[in-house]
Amino acid sequence: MSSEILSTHRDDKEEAVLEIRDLRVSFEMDTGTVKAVNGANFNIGRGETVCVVGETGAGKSVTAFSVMRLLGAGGVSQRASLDGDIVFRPGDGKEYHILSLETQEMLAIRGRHISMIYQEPMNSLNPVYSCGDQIAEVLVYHDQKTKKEAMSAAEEILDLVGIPDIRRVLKSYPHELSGGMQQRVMIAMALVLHPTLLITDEPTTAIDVTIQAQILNLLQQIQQTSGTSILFITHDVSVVAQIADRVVVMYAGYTVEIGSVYDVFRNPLHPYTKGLLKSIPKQLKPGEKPERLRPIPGTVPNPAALPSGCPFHTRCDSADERCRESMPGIDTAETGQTVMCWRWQELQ
Amino acid sequence: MDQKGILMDSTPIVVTKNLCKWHTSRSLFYGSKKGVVKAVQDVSLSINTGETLGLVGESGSGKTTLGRTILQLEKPTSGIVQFKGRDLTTITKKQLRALRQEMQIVFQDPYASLEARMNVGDIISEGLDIHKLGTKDERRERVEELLGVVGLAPEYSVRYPHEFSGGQRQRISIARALALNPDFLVADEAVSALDISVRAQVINLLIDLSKEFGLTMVFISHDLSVVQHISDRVAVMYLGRIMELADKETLYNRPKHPYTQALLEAVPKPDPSQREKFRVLSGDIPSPVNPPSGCVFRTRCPKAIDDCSAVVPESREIEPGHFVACIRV
Amino acid sequence: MENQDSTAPAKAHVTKKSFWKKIRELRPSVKFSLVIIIVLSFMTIFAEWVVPHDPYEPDLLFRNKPPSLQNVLGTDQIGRDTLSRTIYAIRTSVGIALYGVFSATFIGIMMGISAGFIGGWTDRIISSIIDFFYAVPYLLMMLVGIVILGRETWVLIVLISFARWHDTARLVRGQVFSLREVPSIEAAVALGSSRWRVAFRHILPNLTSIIVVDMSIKFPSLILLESTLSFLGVGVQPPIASLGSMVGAGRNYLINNPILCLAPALTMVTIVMCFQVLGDWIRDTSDVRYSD
Repeated sequence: MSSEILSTHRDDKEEAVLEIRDLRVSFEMDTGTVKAVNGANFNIGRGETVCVVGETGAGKSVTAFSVMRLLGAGGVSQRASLDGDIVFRPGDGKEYHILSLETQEMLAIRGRHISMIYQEPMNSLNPVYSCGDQIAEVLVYHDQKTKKEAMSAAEEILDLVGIPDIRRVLKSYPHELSGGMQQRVMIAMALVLHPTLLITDEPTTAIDVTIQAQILNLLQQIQQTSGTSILFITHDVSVVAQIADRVVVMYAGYTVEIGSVYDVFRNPLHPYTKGLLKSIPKQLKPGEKPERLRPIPGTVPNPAALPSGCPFHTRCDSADERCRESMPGIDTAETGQTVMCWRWQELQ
Repeated sequence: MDQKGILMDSTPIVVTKNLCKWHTSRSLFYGSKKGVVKAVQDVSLSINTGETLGLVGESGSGKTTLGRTILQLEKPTSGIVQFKGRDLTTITKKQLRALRQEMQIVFQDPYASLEARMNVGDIISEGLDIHKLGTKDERRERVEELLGVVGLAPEYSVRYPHEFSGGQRQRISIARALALNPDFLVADEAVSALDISVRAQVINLLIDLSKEFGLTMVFISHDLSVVQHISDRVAVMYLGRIMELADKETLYNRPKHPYTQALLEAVPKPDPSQREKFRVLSGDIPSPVNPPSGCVFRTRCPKAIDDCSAVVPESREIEPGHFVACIRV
Repeated sequence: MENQDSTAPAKAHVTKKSFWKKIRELRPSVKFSLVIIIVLSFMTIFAEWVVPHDPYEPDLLFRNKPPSLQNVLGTDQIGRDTLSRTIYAIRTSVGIALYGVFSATFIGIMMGISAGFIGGWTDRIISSIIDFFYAVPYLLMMLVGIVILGRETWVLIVLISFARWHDTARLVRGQVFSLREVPSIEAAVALGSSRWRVAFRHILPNLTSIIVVDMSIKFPSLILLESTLSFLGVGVQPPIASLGSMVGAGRNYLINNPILCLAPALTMVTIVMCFQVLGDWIRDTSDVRYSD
């Protein structure tokens, strides 16, 4: 389990590829201010896969969109306001502070050094262009390749992502392919320029189990062969167990626990993490009877009306006065796990 | 005895014989090309009183269509569905409507399955209103009773669905389904659209309710771990046919059908120390418009031989209660 | 009990804007239209008390007089006060148009629901009838009807009932088709509801906002329809005044008494425009509001 040790202390050795420092994102809506992210703090090392896990309203997708600067100025949503710092190091020695870049500079990074794949491939691929054209577009735009060069690079990358019958797929339109193939095409588009960071937003949620297994295999293969760091967003705890090096648990816009995947699963420190792990049905051994699930009572708070103090206190068995009144700070445990809770030590 | 500790009645409450449901689909992209979607093909099974039958499968498996066809929400193309001995395909509409009090459904989408303009009390008591049961006061009491049973406060009956979260809405849907005291309940991906922590709450609720009210439940889901948790017996479907049917213990630990085996291997385990490369099935799920001839699974089956394309395998009982549709087993 | 979900329902509204504030925030054109329509409604409802003179009383000594203190808009070709006649004309035209809107909407809803709900041959037949009404210009059909049946008021009323029902029917039919698949509707079926109960208790309420928008669009076109017919002389017959018939009658006096045409024409234009603006506004607000 040497990878366990490497993962936890990675940021001490090398400079991180991505550093998110106290990110805050809120949206001004007619009905009030929605606080989507309230202080996210985590790093991603070179070649590392970090899974951000949480339920709806946790702020995971918003965090990802912020890294790509798809929100705020020059982005898709004009109502968002972002604070904090996101530092990105593509590995050429340069350092970029994403939230303060000019639009032109961000355009050069987006798609080339940081790329993203989404949950529903059918809705993210352009239905009026062939898959080959879409992949080639990335190369023509960022690398100034000619169409011919771009097409052959597209062929190579489709081979890498395990698509049979490459010629046919290059000419096909997205709706002519199955869900699994579409997802692979999207992954191909995202990887063709060998980005430093790949962001995947719930890529396996809308796919069938057997196809998900194929995609996860593919991602594992990418982890092992290329040096790409992956920011993997999901609500599926089992997928996290299979693919993550480190885990970031988010709740109501806060990063409540961060640690290596082994530490977080074997010894979760935050009550929410513990609750999440107890909510999923276990794989039963032969002869074992299912134990009653222990769900977390209540529901995720409304991001427009977060409770005072610790955001989790309304659902936490162990909440006390202090939890209700003030926001806990971030503590670090021996193992390197960080946790945002007043009482984590007593509750271990 | 099943996991509910109820002595399972050996008389089946629902029996289907050679049930088929096909739709014609007109694909907008290809002009007027018509395809016949063979959603459910030749399904024969019996569901025992008091049991929870899990129905698993991926897209195109027909599991949702099967559940809806049993309830006659969709008319079968051919075949028979018997409910408590009566053939649902031949009774009159009026008789069917009356029988609906005994068989209910909970849908997947908590947001679309509750009428936005009705308050919670009216939603839950609608069944009572339709079948003209109870006075106004009796209905009100029943609504409050049901809200309590599903874990919601009685004062919620005057509120509207948009004020509630997904998990709470599913509870309301469950209360509505229970209002008529059904004996049979179909949960069609009832927890799939919910967050994990809420999912567990509703799963527990369904388990408790089925024990308390002696419900026979068909639990449709693509999530194998949830199905393992909640069911007594499990049926695995692929492209409209049942590949394997067995009690939970047998199916999950000694699966015999190659598809079941592949499916179980594909499920990620929530344990980081158990990481191995997934042994994957190659290829994609074929479209139900043109299912493969013979055994529908043969195009992806690691054990397929020539004979597999010639004949549709029959479902054989290889050990008591364990049915497999495969010629290689 | 462990299964309790005692969290209060989430209420994301912060402060609900007060009614008056919402009114003040409307676009100027919408505010203006609302005011005009309110004033006009007042005038038509209380027409008997509002009119300065009897609109039917001729005074042959004062024919085609220009505006004066006595007759604010002057008099018409047989000495009747133009202003009073205009006010009564508004009432006639608006009345007929309103009647047409309601009956066309009613017919449209019935046909649309039958087509969408029963489907099969019923749908095919109704859809063909709808297509027919779209293909043939209704004005022409009405003229033929009037020629055959006579120029009586009842003929006009019957024919107007069928004006533009096909718009509503097509709209309703489309909505019924999409709503049929919605789980909340299916749930009603699953509970044992009969088809008609589902149609009227579940589908129809979901159609209200569309129908309201549709009605607000129909109204101006029906005013124009009636006015056209009356202008041509085959709509309401004298001495009853409608905006269209006044314009028609005033044609001959355009040079010496232009007000006879201008008054009803400008009134008609104003009413139609105000309703268009309002209809747009209703559509804008109901689209946005219908979010969950």
